[in-house]
Amino acid sequence: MTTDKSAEKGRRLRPALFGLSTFLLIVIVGFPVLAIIMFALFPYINELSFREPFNVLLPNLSNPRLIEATLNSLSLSFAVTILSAVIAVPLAYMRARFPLRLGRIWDACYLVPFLIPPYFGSLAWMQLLQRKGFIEQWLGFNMADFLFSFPGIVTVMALHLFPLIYFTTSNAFAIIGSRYGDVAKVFGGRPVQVFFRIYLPMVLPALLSSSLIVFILTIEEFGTPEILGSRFGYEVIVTSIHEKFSDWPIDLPGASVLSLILIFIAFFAFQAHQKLSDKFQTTVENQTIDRRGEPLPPVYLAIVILIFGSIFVLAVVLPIVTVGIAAFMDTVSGGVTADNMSFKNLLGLFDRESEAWGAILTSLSLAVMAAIGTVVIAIIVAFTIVRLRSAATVFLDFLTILPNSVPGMAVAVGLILTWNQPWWPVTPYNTPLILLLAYLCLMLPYPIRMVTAALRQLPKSLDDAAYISGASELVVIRQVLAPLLLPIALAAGFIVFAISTRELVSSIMLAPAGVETVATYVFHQFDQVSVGSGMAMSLVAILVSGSIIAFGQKLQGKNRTGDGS
Amino acid sequence: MSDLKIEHISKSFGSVTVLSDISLTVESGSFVTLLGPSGCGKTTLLRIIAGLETADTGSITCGDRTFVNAEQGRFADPQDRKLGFVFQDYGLWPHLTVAENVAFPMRMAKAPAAEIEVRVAEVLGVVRLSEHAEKLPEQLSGGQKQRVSIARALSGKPQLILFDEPLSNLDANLREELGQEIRILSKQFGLTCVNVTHDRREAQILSDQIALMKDGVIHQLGRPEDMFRQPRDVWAAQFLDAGNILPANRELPGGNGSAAEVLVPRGAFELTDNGQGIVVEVLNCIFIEDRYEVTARFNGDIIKVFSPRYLTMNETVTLAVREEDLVRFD
Repeated sequence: MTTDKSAEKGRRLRPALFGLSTFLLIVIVGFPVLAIIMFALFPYINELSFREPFNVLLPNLSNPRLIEATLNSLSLSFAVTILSAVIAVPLAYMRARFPLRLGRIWDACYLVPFLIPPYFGSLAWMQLLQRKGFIEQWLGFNMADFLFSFPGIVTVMALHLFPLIYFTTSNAFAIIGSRYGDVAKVFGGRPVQVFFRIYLPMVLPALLSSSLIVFILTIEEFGTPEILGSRFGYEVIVTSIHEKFSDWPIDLPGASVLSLILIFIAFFAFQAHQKLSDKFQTTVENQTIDRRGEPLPPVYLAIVILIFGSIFVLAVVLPIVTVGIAAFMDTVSGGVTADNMSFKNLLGLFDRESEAWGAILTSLSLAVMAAIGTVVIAIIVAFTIVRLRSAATVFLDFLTILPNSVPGMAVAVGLILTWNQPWWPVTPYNTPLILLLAYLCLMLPYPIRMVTAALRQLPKSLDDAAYISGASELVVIRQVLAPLLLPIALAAGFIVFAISTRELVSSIMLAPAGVETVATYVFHQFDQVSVGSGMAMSLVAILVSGSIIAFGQKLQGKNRTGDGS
Repeated sequence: MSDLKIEHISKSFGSVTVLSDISLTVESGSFVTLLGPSGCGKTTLLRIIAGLETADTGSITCGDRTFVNAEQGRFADPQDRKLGFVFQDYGLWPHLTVAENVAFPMRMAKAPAAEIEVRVAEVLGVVRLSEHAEKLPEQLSGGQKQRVSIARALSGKPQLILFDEPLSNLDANLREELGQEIRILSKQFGLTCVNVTHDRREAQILSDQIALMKDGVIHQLGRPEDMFRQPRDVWAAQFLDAGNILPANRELPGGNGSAAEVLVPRGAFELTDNGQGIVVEVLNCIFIEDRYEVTARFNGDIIKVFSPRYLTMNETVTLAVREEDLVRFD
């Protein structure tokens, strides 16, 4: 018998977990965002003073450079989103009419861009198209003018991001199936009319919602605009924040205003994305994925395969082959010849004394900690949100969704603003720990989404049945929930690990002097024109992190189809 | 004896009152169903009995054990109430085998392994699933899953078993069959059972007593046959689908009293050739189970009656009405 009267009996662990998860999320997610807002509004907040409010915000907002960067960011994101959709939608529509196995093969091919971080792609394109690049060596002309231009950046980014729209939209086409189109045909619709009047409007919410994700990823992206854009003076929000930290004196309030704009855009785009994807869920009745369109005649099939193949070569084969070749080249000027090829660069990475080996170790250990940390936090948070469900969890809900709309650059700025203050007795700033904090904040959405979704699918009666059978709360977590969530937690951990090993933007902003990660190493090698070892590192990172992500996704997929068994 | 005594139980969520002053005694060995539309508070009452929810006022005792005494702030933990629970969605742990699911309550009670093994075999035999002991729940059909859930509820030898719509996930034939099985088991082991459902047929199959609930109070309590023959008011008659509700009318026998509405059970009508009775126009006639079910128009109202022979559409027939079957509502 107990004498306390809490909302649910025998659940004393829950208030503790609720407190713990709220505390962790406030420190990891809440602090950086709050710091950005406070600094943008009150420039002297670091002296704990509210004087001269808006004194930075208003002049900054009318600064022509800021306006230009913002407009550039927006137009770049719009253009990339539209080009990605133009590439993806026809592919997705044709995908539904492939024989089943062929469709799976192409899906696997188009998964590859997810495995490559975008800045590797831009470095590869540069190697390929610039003056004296591979194309010029082989074919005698270069496309540097195209690459280092607005259309060039848009093309490179769209080729990397279109698979997001492709997968969502082709899945939407599959869910809709052919029955709605069949009905339209029965009532006299011709194929083109059926596409524009039936299919396109039906997949529109899914198309728009995935387009918004592409929009957000483009506006957040640092590597590509920095690598390609800086060569022709094209500045976006993210790169101009970077510049505010590289030029002395460091303009903290200015950076916070830019970060705030970035968060604003990303936040509203993300909200719109959520609304639209919910809408698609509810508009389609009887979701069955087994219906396929009618098979294509052989001639058309060949043409379609050709189209799929060309896009695949452009988006995947060319960049990866370029990285591969460059990784084996002793000198860039030596050209692509047999006697200029060796394992020197690759072996150099594993030299215990080298900077490269240090970068690998730093990235691996940070990634392991980030994976374990985010998964543990995700499990605690998921348990609190899904199983407690009260008015108090609304705030927690908000904190878990927030990182989705906080770009990496803003997280970095927020962490600097938070922890670079003299009043902290101890601070992770200027130690590798600050990188861990950044990775935790950036990666949390993945495991939280995966674990929460998995826990939601476990009916509450599983817990209740155990309580009634005499189990305590700890027994329920240990013997009922933990074994059921283990596969998904592992999958989430692998994905976080892989993405953390190659994270660029917060690493560049936050790595203390003398500390390199895999991504910053690659990035800096290009500044120092030691392209070979940068490419060798890229190759290793692509192969290692790519295969781990693929493994994690496989684990997740298995868990989903196996229904938790 | 271990009667379940529920006294003056109330419960609100915020400003919404879900249960107000519920009192109900479930005699030892009897099967009571809380029947009512969604939102009437029946599930909340069941969860309060189980200890998955607390009550604001009132007390619940089972034999000499106190489950709830809200005035003293005493609430036994669900794990200390020693009851069985059968869930609508089965609540079987997907990572445990059938035998492990059934053994769980005894493991929690720290019973010796040998005893557990014997008891698991015994209850699986009772629900006729012995050969499925080593399977995982996902390898079973819906009806089998629910029988595992029943076996788990029996395994700890509880005095009291709670059911949350145990039949509603099953298809119609299976529902009837498993319902009969549950009822026979409960009598065989002398179990005290409380069931919750919105399905009057499920209540009819299982119960000795039905507590019809509406807006957080017990609207009517009684044996199934009494309740269907004598619903308390128009709402109860409609919810139970006890028959045709017609405005009190001079043409109906005894219809000129003070009553406003009359319940005429479908079986109270009889085809007649002698011209004594009400004249109706046949709208539809279908064969269901072992008789014809006729939809007909009587004045402005649509009524349903049973008929031993086929009636053609638009035919006009005369029906005699058995006066003693009618229920009058003011």
